Amino acid sequence: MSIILDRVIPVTKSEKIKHFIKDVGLPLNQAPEALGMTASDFMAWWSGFNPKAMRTQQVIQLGQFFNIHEDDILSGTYDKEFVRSVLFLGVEAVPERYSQYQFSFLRSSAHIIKFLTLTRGQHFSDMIMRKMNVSPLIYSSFDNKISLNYFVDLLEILASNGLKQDELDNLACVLFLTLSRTALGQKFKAAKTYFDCYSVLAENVHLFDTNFNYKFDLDRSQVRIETSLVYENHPHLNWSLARMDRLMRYRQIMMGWFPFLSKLPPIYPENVLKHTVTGVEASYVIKFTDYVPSQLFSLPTARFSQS
Amino acid sequence: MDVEYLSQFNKRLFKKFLGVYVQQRRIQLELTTEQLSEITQLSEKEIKLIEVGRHQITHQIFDTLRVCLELDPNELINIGKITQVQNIMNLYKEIDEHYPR
Repeated sequence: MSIILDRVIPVTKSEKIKHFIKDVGLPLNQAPEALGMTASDFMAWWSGFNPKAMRTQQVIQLGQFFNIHEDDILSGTYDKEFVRSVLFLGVEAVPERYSQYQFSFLRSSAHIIKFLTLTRGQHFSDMIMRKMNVSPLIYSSFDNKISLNYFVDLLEILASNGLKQDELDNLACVLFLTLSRTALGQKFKAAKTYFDCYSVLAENVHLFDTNFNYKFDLDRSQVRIETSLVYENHPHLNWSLARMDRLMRYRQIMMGWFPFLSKLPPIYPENVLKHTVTGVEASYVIKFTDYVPSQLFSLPTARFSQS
Repeated sequence: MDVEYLSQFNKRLFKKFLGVYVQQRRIQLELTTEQLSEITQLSEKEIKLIEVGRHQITHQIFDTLRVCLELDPNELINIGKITQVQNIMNLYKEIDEHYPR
């Protein structure tokens, strides 16, 4: 009982930060850098001489240092093990739930972060990454792998941070933001017909993710893409039906937008989705004659090639 | 690079996204709105309105911002394409009844 009574419960912002520093074991010689303070300011604050030196800016800086959201520091809801792994392993550390069963490539979500940066600003996209306990630096290579949990959480966090369904739908359409200037993007760009475009996809789909099994049935008039996710191979997944539906809706729209990379109008796939006891099966049929009228797609992108 | 062409699909959205990008570049270059105002010869009020996407973007303003802030042409094209995506999605919703909502 005396132990409990002796324990000081942090109340002020200053006390909470001190508690955080002690709790995660942040060495005091690294703390000024983590807080964005000079060594002398830090010592004045730490010794209690100037408690007001701890402003909101310092808390945000501390969150950015550890790839966590500042609210988690103040509320004490941070993942201590994760913070310590960032401290001792570096910024490329990711939470365990993203580091297990890494069957997705980061190229499959890089365009989303780019989209957020362009439409909502760097601060917003960084904040989203911090909420996921991930550094934006993980996108330094699109070949880095990550768990499908990451992608599902990303959609969930975006939805809870004000993105409406319309905007979430748009995320599935902007692959060009990060793909167009890569070697894979050039392959899509070289495709002149829907058949060519989906042939490129069939050959390279494993570069996006290997969580799903894919089967392509392609001819000149249509493509049928059968995909399946077998739960047995993904014991780390623990999703609600709503989260799964959000993911599958994203995938449905995305399947129709690959032609945009080939300067062809996108076509929405017909979709059959089955939830079974063993997993999820989705079948997409894209009929190449179902393109939108040309007046809906009149941007001659070639004009932009050199500015 | 033609601002009319880039914004042809949705001028309102283009102004909004361009404003975000302009503010981002200004912060990257460590400029205050006052300093940017001096460089561009636009008033501070105009700069602030541009950054929140509420100022008309004329050819002259667009070119001034593009040069002074060294805006990346590829990012400007991306912004134009994003408004195109939005436009296509809106039209799909109207014409494509079988698309599930």
